[in-house]
Amino acid sequence: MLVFALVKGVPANTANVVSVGGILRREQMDIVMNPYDRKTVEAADYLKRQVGGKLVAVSMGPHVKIIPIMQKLFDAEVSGIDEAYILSDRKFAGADTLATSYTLASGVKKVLDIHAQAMDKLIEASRGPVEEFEKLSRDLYLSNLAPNYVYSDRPAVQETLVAKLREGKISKSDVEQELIKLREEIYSNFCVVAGMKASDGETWNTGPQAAEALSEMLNILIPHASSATGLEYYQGSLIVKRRIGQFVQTVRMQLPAVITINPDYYVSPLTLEMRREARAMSFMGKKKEPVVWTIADLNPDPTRIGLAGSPTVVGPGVDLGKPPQIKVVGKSLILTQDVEKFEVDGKAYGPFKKGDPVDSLPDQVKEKLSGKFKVFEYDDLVDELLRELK
Amino acid sequence: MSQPLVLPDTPDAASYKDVWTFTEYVEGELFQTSFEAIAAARKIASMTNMRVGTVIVGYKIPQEVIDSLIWRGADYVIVVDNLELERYNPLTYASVLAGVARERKPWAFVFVADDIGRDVAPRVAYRLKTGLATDCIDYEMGEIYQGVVGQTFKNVLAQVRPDFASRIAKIFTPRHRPQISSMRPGYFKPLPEDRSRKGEVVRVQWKVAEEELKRFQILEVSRLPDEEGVELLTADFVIGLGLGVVRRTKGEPDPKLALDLAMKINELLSSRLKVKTAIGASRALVWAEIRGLKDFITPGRQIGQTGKTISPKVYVAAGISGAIQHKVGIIRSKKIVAINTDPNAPIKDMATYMINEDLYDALPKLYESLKRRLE
Repeated sequence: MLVFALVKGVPANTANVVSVGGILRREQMDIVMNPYDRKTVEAADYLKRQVGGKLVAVSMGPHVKIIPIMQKLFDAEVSGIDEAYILSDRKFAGADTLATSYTLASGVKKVLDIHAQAMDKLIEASRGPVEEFEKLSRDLYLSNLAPNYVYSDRPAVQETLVAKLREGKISKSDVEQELIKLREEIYSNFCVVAGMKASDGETWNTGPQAAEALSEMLNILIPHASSATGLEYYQGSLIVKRRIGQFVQTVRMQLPAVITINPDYYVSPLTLEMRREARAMSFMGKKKEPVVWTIADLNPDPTRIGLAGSPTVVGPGVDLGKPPQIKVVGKSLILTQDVEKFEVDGKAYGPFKKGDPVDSLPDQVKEKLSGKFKVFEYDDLVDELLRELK
Repeated sequence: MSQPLVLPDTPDAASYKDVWTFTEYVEGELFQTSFEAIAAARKIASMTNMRVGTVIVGYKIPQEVIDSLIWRGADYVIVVDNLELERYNPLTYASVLAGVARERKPWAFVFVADDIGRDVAPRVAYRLKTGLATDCIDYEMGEIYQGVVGQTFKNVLAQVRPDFASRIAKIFTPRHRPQISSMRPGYFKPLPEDRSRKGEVVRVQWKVAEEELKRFQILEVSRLPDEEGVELLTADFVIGLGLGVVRRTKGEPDPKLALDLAMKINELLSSRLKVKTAIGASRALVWAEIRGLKDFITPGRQIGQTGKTISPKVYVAAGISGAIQHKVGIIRSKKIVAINTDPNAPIKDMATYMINEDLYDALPKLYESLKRRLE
């Protein structure tokens, strides 16, 4: 089974965000992996080890920033990724969640297509001479496009289709039937795992909308479940646990499915038996170079990507109202009485009320008010708070 | 001029009218936040002279639930009542909501930004090929220039949401309808119940596709015990504790002592002034799971973007530096007292008062002063 992990690069430091007209300039910031995606990769890896297959990370964003994130995921000893595809093109930029989910789904679909095309070639070859079929199987195995089940050089995996054919245990047409089944499963038996949300946008939208986008592209209804705290593969479907308000919902979802992972999710241990079963459907290993796909590789509908494909527009940002005068206990100076309007050097000040801070006033003005202010103390603070509460 | 290569406008966009909400009715319970959504819709409707409709989906929905929606501000209720819709399923519910919206064309559609709204609204928006502004805290009318079509659009909804880049962002959906958004709970007060209000009940027949029930099959739903920290939502005086409890300047930090000090202040205020008090925490403190606090400082008591939004008269942020995620949970507080050893902690941007002292010193002084003043 192909297990996809959608990974997002987010600004490392939310205090140093570069945004132009409401659009984040990710290329100008330090970018790290969305913290919610750590559990995404763990959950995806768990599924992979439970079912067999490979873990493919897909991310959209400037590749110079995303490649280091992927590199770290490749190097992870436990729960790392096997392949990475980065969707990076200026035309993808400025996407809202609708355009983002469409683009990510296009990337997922392309990975599925590549595997299906490989299988098509293999099906074709299975009808020809056995040596050529063997050679192609081996090539596809080495390029990570065919699972151990077809061909393997691992001693632990016997009973591959190639081995069985060579030993005369099965016929050519048996092989073809098996391959046709494998090809069908590419589209009917995959899973996309994503973070519940990203630490920058916090929308929760990408998972459910990626399910819609893939449903649209593959012409099959793909369910999703947001914010899963539990996830198990069980007889061709997923058992997912998640919270709905004050309720916990346990559901059985048919594959393909999209799951977003709640930070409370914990991986449960796998038995050796499960891992043995999964081995046949696993692939050779990691392809450590992330692949960068641009618009030319994905060939998406140009009206569905980037700014052009985004129905929403972000208006100019507004600062939250700041209280203009903060009063610091033991430091700020406040008036002890009301003061009428007055002038200093031709400029008008006041009127002021008892309790108003005078810290920000020019020195000449403070001089004029001398004797009428004191330091703001706990009791003054409490008086003002009690007035508010009464 | 040739049509720019953009997502096509919603056909017949001008014919979309009314403001809708999605009422969450789950396992026989009406989620009270649905009334907040109706209040938000009423605000939008008052700016646009439109009517407020709400969609409720479920099975054997009692009449008093439907009536309550009208009493709380809905002009009409669209009821989709069907055995197969008894339990919340994102596939069936998205089909219902997209279906009725496609047919009846609401101008704006407000969801609640909670587990269900966040689960189903994205699918509905995708199917209708329109925008979705999540986590809105306010709505205004506005105009916006959209660069890709080189046009300014007037009288569109400004969907106001917290945004860490610029603090508050206005999201517009100028060319697509409905303008879908989710409303962050805690920002709109439910309207008072007015039993004399009259409204229309529209019952819609719906046939659920087998496929949807097959692909997403609900096995079990169980109710969790009531959540902790609900008192935060209605309290007038809230003390929030942050990681400052583990950074005492003099002596050993004692988080349990910090909590006790806060409780002492709250007890004093509630016994003498009869104000409702509560204790919350920053996300950092909740996640730190500190021994001695763990039983009390639970995720239910988290204040901020991923926790609760509070609206007290006075909020005391003790040892909380004030990440933007925390700030969005407290902006509705009337007066904010920041206790922080760092005079430049980001919380100062929002604070009315600041105490630049260790909370282990400041809280007892605050308590003593309160005691003096309340005598």
